[in-house]
Amino acid sequence: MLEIKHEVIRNVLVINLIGRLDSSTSRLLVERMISEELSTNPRIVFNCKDLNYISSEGLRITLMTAKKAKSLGGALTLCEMNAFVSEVMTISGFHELLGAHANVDLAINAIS
Amino acid sequence: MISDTSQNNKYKNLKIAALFCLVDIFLTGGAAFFSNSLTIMSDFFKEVADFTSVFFALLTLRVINSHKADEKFSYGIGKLENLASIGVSILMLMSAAFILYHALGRLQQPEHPQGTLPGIIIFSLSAIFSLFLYLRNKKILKTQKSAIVDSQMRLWLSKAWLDGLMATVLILSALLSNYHWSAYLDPLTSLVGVILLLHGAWKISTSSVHELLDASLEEASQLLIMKKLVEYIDDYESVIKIRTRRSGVQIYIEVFLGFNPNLKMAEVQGKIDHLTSAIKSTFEGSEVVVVASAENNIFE
Repeated sequence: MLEIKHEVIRNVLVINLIGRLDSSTSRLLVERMISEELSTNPRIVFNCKDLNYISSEGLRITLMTAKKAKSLGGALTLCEMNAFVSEVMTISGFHELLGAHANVDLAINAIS
Repeated sequence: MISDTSQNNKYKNLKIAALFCLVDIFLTGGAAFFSNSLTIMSDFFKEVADFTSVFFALLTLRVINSHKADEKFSYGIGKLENLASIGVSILMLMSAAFILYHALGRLQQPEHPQGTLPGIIIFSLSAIFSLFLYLRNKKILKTQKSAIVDSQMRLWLSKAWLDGLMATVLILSALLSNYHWSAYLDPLTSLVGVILLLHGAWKISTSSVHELLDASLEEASQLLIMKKLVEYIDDYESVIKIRTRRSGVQIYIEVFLGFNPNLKMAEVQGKIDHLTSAIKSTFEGSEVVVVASAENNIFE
């Protein structure tokens, strides 16, 4: 199960991911990213505070979001990951690629 | 791809093992007949089980080698190795049950083993040759993963320990025959052998069942593929899909990527080659294919 909530703070699109991001739920994120006008808000923060699990398929969608954001002059960064998600991001190199922050404010500051 | 040389080594190894088992069966059978020894008779039946498992593995390897990938089995029939390994572990379990049955009987009605001298010679030679086969299989396993070679390595290690223990027990029983308690040495040592066989069978079956059930790569390995894609992130435009599969011990990885349509094919091929090498270096012996896909980017 994946629930997605969003808000725009200081022209940064903050996506709150709640639940699991895996092969069965990743399509939800894709549909939301398309519908949330990614082109007008290419600076994105994935708030992982309530994200329990992310699979390799979830990473693929994250990677695609990051590339799309970059192509539009923006970027994607991450914040408030739990231990498991943080480990996955570290092993796969996403930690280094996207950056990880302790909270939403720090993530927004970094990406602004 | 598994090389022909590796396959030949595995095949040669199994033929040596089968020949050794046949010789052992002949010697053990003869010794059991002339000595009327229950210890050696038990070993004779265990040798028959060992020969059956080696012969089964040999046949399996022959079938796998003769059956290349085709329309029905597009990844070949490598999983037959895992099935054969499970067969070996079942035979090891049966041997353990057989030895346990006789050991428990001997504990209830202890008697000194007979046919000591032929038994000592046969068990000693068998232990030495089993150790040789264990080391041979271990060496092959270092160069390539194989469920059959792994199961054979564990089988010969268990056998080397068991035969070594039996030879030791027969020597001690002969030296300590004046002591009544020395009659318990044989069945107690057999129980240790049972534990070794059970441990070996457990190790083989858990890894083989896991490889049989799980068709795609486990998540930890998928993360390593993603890591390579992150390292080469600027070489492609999109990751369309990633497909992975295990067939026996062989790993297949297919990565479908979208590239900048303005690039020339030669440039795209260069990027594909770099990424293919990078992923292959992470998964030794794997088959990796990176495909320039015309499928649409999910965000387009």
